[in-house]
Amino acid sequence: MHSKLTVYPLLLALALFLASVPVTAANWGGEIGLQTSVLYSGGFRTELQVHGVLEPFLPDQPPFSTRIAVEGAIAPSQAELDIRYLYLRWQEGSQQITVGRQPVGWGYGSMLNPLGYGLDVTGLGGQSVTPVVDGLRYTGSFGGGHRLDLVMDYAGSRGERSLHDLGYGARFRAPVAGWDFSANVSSQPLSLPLGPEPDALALQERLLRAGVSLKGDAGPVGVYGSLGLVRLHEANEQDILLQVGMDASTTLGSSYQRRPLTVQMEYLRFLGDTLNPGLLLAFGDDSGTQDMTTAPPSEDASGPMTGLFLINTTLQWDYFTHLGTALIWPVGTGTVVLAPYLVSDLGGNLELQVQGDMMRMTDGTYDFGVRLGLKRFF
Amino acid sequence: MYQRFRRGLRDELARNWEKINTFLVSAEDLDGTEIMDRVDANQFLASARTESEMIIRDGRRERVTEMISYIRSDGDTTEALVEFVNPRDRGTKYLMLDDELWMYFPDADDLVRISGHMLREGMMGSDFSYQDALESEKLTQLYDFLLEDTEMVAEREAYVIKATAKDGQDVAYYQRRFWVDAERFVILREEMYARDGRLLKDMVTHRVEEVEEDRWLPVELTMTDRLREDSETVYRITDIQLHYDIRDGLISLDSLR
Repeated sequence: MHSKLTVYPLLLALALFLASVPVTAANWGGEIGLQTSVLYSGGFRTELQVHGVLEPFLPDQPPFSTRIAVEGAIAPSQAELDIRYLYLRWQEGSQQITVGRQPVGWGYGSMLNPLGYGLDVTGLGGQSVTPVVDGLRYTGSFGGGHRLDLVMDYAGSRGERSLHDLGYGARFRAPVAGWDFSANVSSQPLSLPLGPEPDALALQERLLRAGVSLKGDAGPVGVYGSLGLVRLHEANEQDILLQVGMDASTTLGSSYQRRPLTVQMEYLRFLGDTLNPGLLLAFGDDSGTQDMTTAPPSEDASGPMTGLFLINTTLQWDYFTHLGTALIWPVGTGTVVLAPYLVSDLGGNLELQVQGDMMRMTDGTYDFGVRLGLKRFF
Repeated sequence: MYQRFRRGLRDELARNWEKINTFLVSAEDLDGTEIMDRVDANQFLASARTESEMIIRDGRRERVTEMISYIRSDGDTTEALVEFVNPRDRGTKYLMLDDELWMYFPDADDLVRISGHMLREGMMGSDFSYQDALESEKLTQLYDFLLEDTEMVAEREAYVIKATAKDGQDVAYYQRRFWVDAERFVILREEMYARDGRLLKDMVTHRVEEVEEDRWLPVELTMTDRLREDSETVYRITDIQLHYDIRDGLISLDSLR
């Protein structure tokens, strides 16, 4: 989770905003959940966690609006409380400035967005992760769906923060002949651990990315892709990144009660084999309590990851229940991850989640885990 | 007294003759297309704001989705912005621009274009597909209509209209059958068929409301997927404001935040 947010002027501005809003005008909401896990990696272990998010939905005070969300988690051996979102937004016409802890989603319909600000994961194994930053964001809309995003944030995960920890990026987005086009550029500090241990030394790098992405329909199938240049500044290494993907849906036959099935698959690789798709996973999960199901690079990998292949299938079992499976194959490593999941709306704003993951290691052994969660929205 | 009654009845008939005569002429002379044109005219929303709920029932389980919608049409293209306000989906928005569908996710503060093949899926898992919503605005462009008969539906006289997809049109249902209230020109019931004649869905209107003088709209209806057992989706409008002053840019990609 994030360390303390230290933007005191923001807090002052928020305090003034909140002072202008009657307490009774807040519409409180959020979620509370319980999750239990059974994990096996050479031996069994169990985990139990209670987590929750509390959010006052405050009415806008034009031209200002705000979002505040606090999240917490309690496990047998630890408790955490953090701010998920805390930002103030000013909007005048088609211009918008947002200051504070905020999500920066640059997704374009892929499961993994290699040109996002940080790491965007959408709908992979039933999970989504959006980078959350402490910073400043400008969004300008110029008509016809043309939009420019400029972001600057204090990034970096180790040591004291300095100007060297500043990240910045820009995204231009436009609909082009029914297709969704984006051009992204970003420069962000990156901490690359030199070992699997939590306290392992890390190489401080700066990751530069620039590229374009496109999504649209090719007949009955959705297609998308991205192409970009990725550079590690300190190591002076760079490579061309390519991602291609598709999504389609069908209805199973009458013997399956015509249940809708959706399939999405994509492939990502660096064309020069200089860099590794596992590089992107070093951004980690900054969104709070969401768990990522992608596999980190392994010391025991039989070789470097030359590509990353993802497949996600989702079956709508009935109005309330979705079943799905994600396959994550880091090509070249000899490992593969299979992650089945079930999400069911039990009614009364109560949701059941069952998630599993099974990872085949290079030595033929398996690690696996099962997580059972119950969540209530209010 | 009898003479006074006869004079009173004659005067009453004279006052209402134009309306009665118009109705009788309508019943004899309107064809299927003209009837559906009147339905379209009735349902045409130049600009409106609605508050509504969708109740999905499957056996004993039930899920309620609440939304606020802004709808605008110029007769050729229809645009709509839907924002969900129930706890589970709070802040999620849909933007329908002609035949494109975009979704806004508040936890990503970003929007995504939904692939075309997803338009046939149920909206928020319901029996109403996105394509149902998009096609309902342009039935006369997509189908040929034939007046088959008249029947009584819920004690109302109704035209029975058979609709067949026009050649070359990519529609969700090859054939439809409508029961249209002969006086109010609202759809009281609808059946949707596949090309092979299988009944796929049917919709029943439970309640209509006179939103303006002589203008009626369905405000509560139930859609049932006939290929599933023991399930249905109820759509209920709890508030509607016609001729709503939708601010410039609200129903657009530029404001989807």
